[in-house]
Amino acid sequence: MVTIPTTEFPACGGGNPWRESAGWVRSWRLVFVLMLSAFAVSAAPTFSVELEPEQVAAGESAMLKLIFTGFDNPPTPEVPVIPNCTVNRAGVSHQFTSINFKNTSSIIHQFAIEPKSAGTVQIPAITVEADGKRYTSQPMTLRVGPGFDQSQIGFLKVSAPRPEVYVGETFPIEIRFYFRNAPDQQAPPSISMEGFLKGRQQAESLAPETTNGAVHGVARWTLAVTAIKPGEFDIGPAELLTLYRFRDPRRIFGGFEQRKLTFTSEPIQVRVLAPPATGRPAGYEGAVGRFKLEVTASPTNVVAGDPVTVRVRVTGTGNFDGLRLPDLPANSGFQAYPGTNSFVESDPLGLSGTKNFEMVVVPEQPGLQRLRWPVLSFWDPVQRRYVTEQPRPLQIQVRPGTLAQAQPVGSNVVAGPAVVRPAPGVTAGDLALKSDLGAWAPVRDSVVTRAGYWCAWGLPLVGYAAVGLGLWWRRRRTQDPAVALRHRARHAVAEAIANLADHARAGRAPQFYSALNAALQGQLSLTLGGNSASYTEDVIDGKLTPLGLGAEDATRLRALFGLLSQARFSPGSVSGDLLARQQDAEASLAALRRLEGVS
Amino acid sequence: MRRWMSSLLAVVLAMGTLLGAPTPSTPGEAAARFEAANRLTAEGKYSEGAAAYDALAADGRTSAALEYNRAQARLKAGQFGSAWAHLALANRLNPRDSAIRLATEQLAPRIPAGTGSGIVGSWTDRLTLNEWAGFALFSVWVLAGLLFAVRFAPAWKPRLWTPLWVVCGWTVISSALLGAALWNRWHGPNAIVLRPDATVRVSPLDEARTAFSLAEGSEVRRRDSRGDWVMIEEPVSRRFGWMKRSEVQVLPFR
Repeated sequence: MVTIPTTEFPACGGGNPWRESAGWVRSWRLVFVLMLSAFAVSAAPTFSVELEPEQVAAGESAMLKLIFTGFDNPPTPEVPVIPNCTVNRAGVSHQFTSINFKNTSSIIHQFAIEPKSAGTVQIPAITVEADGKRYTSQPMTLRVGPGFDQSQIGFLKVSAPRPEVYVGETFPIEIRFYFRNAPDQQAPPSISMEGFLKGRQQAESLAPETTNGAVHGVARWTLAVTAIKPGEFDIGPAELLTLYRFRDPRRIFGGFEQRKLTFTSEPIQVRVLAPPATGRPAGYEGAVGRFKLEVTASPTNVVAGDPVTVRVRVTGTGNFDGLRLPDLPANSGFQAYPGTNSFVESDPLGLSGTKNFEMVVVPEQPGLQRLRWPVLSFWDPVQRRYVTEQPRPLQIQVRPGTLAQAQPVGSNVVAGPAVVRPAPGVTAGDLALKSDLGAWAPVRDSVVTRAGYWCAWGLPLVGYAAVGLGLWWRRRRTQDPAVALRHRARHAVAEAIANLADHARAGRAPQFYSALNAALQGQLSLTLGGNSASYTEDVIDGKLTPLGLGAEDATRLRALFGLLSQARFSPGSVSGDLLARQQDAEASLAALRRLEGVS
Repeated sequence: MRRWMSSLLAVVLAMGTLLGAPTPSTPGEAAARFEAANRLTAEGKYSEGAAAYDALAADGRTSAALEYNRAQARLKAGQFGSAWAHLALANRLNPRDSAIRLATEQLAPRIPAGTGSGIVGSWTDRLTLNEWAGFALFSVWVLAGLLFAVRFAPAWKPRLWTPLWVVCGWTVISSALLGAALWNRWHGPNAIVLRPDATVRVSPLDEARTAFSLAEGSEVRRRDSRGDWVMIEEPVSRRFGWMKRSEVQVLPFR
């Protein structure tokens, strides 16, 4: 028997040598098949179905093969919908079989069947039409084992703080994922709920807990929800999609397989009640929670018509989004204008915090005015009763003013002449203008944009640093013997060079050579270190030439040493032009100075 | 009769400024014209009042009160962008004026950016940049004086030691505060869109394609300028574009 399977996969990118090579292989196979076909005895076409394997675990897949044998023009079959299964096309393969020179050609369409849960999956009979005939396969049964126990990996749990909440109440619900092995990847959980409004969500990891006798890692998602209508509602089930990686026992050399696992929680039932109508305060506007109220005003001593800023601070826990302040009573003696509010939360979900209201009121009458406002009524869901927070009355001393008109847009807090008086018969409207022009000057950019400012900013520090450096340098010069010695030597050399020129011009040979000796010895001590008056001609070859003294300078220096010896031991025999020797001396001293840095 | 005369005087003064009257040269003259502009505004002639204020500030001289009143007149005339620009400038000139602060807080929620005011919203805006700079400069000089005193009068060293450390700490703090204020000025918005639905173009040409548009009162950052055009950056989306100089008010760096 000869079997030549070929496989066709869904179309992929072409135009490369491998594809051409595959074409050659296919051509060769075709020729081979044609050769075999020459000996073939044609048989009746058949259609059959195979399932491999016939038993799988939940989450694994079985291969359904639709085999067309001996068809000239086989159809492209479709697998009907199989309940509780996912069906995916897995490719087409060709198979040639030769048994005793009897050849058959088969085309196999493969489908991957992946059951979702344990039980029995019935694969119905599949009917196809080919070559003008109908062919029907036998129905098949796929047995699905339980797979592995997902609860051994982890489970999901939803909880609420209380089984009964109130309409308008904002409370946290928790979704906890207990796991023995952490998933490779996970998405945020989804949860279905009706009758609630979802708010902000926070995810965090908690310390491991012992549950059902085993240690579980815990991930927690906390979600703020607000009940919006009365009734009994389910919160959940929550679903968490995870991706786990398991060691694959079927692979000889090890390896892993990835599985998507979906954990589902049980739903919880929550009863939502409406705050009772009995005992409801008159000013109740639907606030639910636990709040404290603080009210301040400033200034408290004003001229009639001046604005007073009232600040209301509401702290506590509850639904701050729906928290509104009641309107100022009409007969309060004050005129109120729309204000601003802000919320500073003290937890990540925004369930507790401080809401600040700020608004402007304008007293309409002079005298000591008392403002008892605002009165905040709310339903306390924990104590299950209405609470009314009533602040102490604000006392504002109002002095009589010339303008008793409210001024809403901004305010002019400058009393007296700062208030623009409208022309007689003309109403000022709601403007609050300033009447004092103030400092009327050109508007220039800040001084920081000018270099002068930064010079002035840095000058004292730079000056202090410069003075400090100078003092340090002076102290170093006076206190360090080596530095002081060098300083004195340099001074002596400079003095000797000056005398050298004087003596040369005056023709005083003995003094000239004495000065020359002092200058030369002093400069050598600066160049080479050590004491002056101790250097002889030997230093030229011994030290100065290795330091880089040039041949010409060395010759000149050697001649000067010779002249000095001659002047010392036979003063009368030294003759010649002193000015020329002075120039030689200065050239030699300059050469020695250049070597100072080198040594 | 006096009422009628005063109204007439105010109108004449305002018309005079509109027709190109020279800007006032003395503070007294400026105060008189300021009062006249106030009167026009108080009488409900907001556009005329605003024009009178504009004429008063035409030569670059202005004051916090003038900018505040200009803002009020512009607001009543329905020009929110211009009002907000003048109020922002008033804040920069006198940031601790309670009336200006209050008006700013009331208008801030109307800024289109959605995140509140970036121009006058920072704590560094409680002082002007010059005041921050003055604090830093003063503390540096005091510190240097103490350092010199300690160096040249060692006998005072025990008594000056504590003040020296205090002033040193204050110098660091004041310089850091100046740095923070500078940072806010440099990186925050510094210009305000004056026109509703102002067009921002991709290049400084009338024929250039429209990049996006900005609402009146939007706070933007000026990045560059070329002739009659200003390059702006929208601070939320970080988009760039060019606007006509007349459509945006650039605030001074102060």
